[in-house]
Amino acid sequence: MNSVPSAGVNEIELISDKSNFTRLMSFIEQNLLPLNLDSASFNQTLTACEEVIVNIINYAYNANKGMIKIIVKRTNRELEIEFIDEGVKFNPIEKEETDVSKPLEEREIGGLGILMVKKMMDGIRYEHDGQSNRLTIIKYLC
Amino acid sequence: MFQVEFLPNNQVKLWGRFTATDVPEAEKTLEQLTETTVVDMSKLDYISSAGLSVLLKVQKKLKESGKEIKLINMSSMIRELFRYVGFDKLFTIE
Repeated sequence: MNSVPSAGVNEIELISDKSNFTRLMSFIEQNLLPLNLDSASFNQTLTACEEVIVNIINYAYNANKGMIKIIVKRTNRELEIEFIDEGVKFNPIEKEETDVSKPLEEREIGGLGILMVKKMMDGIRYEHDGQSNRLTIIKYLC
Repeated sequence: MFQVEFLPNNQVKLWGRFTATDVPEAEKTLEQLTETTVVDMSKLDYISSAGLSVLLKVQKKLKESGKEIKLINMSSMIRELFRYVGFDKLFTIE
């Protein structure tokens, strides 16, 4: 499940738990490496994926456990990474953005993750299919 | 793998990827800082929001006593990230 096939789609599904964080990130990295992205795009994509994965692990299921599925789709022009969970319905795109102009003493710890995803990726979309949150982030490859 | 290297003259160097899993150890290490410290980021590949939160926490604590962390040798990608989240206004970046 963790290997990178020659086709343009690959996926992994694990329990949404901190103990699987490293495995999920390794899956992403293994899918990025063959793309020969420049180091900025590579690190931006890894960072964005971490933000989404951490959000799902920490918040999607509250105290319960559920699944997290990641589907990586690659075409000649773009890379799409879809994150699926069956936790609490949550559209991160609609979440009010953190005010980044506040001075140090008023800045709060946290709340930056989704903002970073939006800034570092070329596209983001969310849908809820009645059962699952499906968040897709997009990086153009050319 | 993320590492914090302590150097002479109140300097610290960050290595690798500063991810969510590194937060407990990084907090424990960086919260020991009590003086103005130069943080060399030349070997930092990326930093997630969890890592940024640690830097913010340390900066807030140091500023209370008139000290700070100063960031040097940032990659252009991390510099851009700091700008996105307004951290370029919260830290001295050289």
